[in-house]
Amino acid sequence: MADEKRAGSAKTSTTPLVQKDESMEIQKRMLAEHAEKLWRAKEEGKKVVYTFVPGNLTELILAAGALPVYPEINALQSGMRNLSADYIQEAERIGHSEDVCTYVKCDVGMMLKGNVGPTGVKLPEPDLLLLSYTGCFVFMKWFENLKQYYNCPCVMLHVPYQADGAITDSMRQYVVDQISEQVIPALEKVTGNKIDMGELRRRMELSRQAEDDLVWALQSAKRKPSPIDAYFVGVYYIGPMFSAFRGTEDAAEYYRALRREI
Amino acid sequence: MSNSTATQGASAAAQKAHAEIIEQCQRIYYDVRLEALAQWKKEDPSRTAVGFLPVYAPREIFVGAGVRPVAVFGGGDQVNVICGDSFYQSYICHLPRSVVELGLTSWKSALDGLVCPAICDVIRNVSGVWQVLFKDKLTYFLDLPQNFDSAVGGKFYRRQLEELAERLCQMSRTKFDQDRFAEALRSYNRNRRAVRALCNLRVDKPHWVPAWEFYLLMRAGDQMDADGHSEILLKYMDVVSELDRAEQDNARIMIVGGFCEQPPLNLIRTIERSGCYLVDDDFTLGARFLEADAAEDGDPLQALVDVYLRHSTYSSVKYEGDVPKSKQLVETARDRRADGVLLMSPSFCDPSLLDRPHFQRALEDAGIPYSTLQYAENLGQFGPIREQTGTFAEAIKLWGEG
Ligand code: SF4
Repeated sequence: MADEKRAGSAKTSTTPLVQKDESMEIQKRMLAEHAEKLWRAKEEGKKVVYTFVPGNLTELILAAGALPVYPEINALQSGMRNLSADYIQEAERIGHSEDVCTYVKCDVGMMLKGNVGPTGVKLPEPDLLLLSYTGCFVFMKWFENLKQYYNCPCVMLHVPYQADGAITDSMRQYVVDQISEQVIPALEKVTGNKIDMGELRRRMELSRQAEDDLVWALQSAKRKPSPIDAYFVGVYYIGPMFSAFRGTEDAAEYYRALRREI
Repeated sequence: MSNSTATQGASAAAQKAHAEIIEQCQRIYYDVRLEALAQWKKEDPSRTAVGFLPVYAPREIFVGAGVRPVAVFGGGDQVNVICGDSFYQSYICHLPRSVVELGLTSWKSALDGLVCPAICDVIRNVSGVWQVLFKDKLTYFLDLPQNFDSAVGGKFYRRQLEELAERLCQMSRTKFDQDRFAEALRSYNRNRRAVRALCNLRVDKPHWVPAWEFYLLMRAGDQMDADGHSEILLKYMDVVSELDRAEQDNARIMIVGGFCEQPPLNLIRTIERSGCYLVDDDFTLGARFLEADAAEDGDPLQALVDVYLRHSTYSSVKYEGDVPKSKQLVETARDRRADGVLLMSPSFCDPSLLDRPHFQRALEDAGIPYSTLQYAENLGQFGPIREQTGTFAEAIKLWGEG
């Protein structure tokens, strides 16, 4: 169907138009709305939580009524928009080595230059740094660096490494203890909102629906020929699920639309 | 006359004792292929030895499980890495290369396993490589907690230690011996006290304890039992007090950042010869990781957990929590009466290098001079470093407050 639309437009127009699928339009709207919310966050008294993509706790952040920001995604988008070089130089000027991860340097450099995000909008400063330390050691160092600049608390979630490829009871308990004893109290303190477990459950159910549709979409690549390709998976499909939209109606709607299109 | 002869006699005896200690330490230091250990095992095939990578592992548990703990740091500048390079990209530090190289060659008959403490992504990867390469040996990833609340991280860490004990016992085919464990706890407490005494001595009298000797003394502990090592340290401290070493007009320098991949011994000598007294460093930090004794009067396992949570040193491999590391760095520099700090990191070392910017800022704010440099364990050219650290020391002496 999408292909027919593209073919049709190519016949009737002299300048080839890019025809976007419905899911793309949904995602574009979601991103614009999120940017808008961030832009107005301070004015509207919304709290902002910086966190990492892997193992993110977006459902929990949203259930607390806060807005998530992902420095990794800013670094990625700065790279895609050719903005990174200046930021990296700025970070190296204050002592970051040439040898270390450029995502960190891009983010630190962006912050030093006024924290204007890749879309040109100034990002709100964090009210909380939620250090979801899920495997990449650099995450820990990254937020230890940010802690020096932002006058806000930092709470860590250390997710153990599955050296034998299995999750043990002790690992599970460690994660549960950290979330219940430290992460939730930190979120509640910063936002002033008590987390409603019913709301959290509802958001997790939305994540489950979205994830089921995403997995279905990824599995479709087993067909020959595959209806999807790696470029669209990497650039579009994984976006909402791994960022600010876990546990939202928008993400569930996005993945339903994607599934229909595929 | 008789007095003078007696003094000369004592001095000669001290010199001899000193030379013997250093020679013994050097023998251990240069044995990166663990040949003495392989020989020790050959003499009694029921003996077991397990290596552990930097920075810290609770050796008391090894002893309780009937296993000899061996601190391993890679090959330094003594190993020509051939196979090890094929496991790692060019933008990874050098230590894992020589660890894999030695694992595939010399360590096979010396080590029955390897414990990889969770200090960075590279060491975690080494644990995976080890698992794949040496299926017949033990590989244990020691996931040290980054949460220091005893009801949260403490509970997790205790389980980690129990699991480590179980895995070591499976490998050594012995039952965990609680008495031996408690005795090891006491021995390592004594050892930590001896190490602290030596550290204090070099703060007070750095001309008595040259940095390269200090380093060799610490490395001697890699392969020795705790009491044997303590004996050497205590003897050394006795002996140097008699050596009559003259104080020189050197700058008092503290080194930070070399806690994992070790600099070549000649690099330490080079820095020292360029006019620096090292009053503190974090090479071989594992032996100094716990800054207090583990309690000896209760459950020894819990004592190890508690001392780790409450009294482990600040370090780039640990989450800083509410007390910024940079603040602790400045406090340590002041406590050691350091004139300057050398931020010295292995190339491509994320934990060390990512602390550098805020360390620099804190030192600047505190008015403590610093300089930065990078090295690799197999570095062979020391000229530029000698110039850099020599200039640093000169600048401190010319323009420093002292
Ligand atoms: S030198 Fe640094 S990066 Fe390399 S293994 Fe050690 S801590 Fe990790």
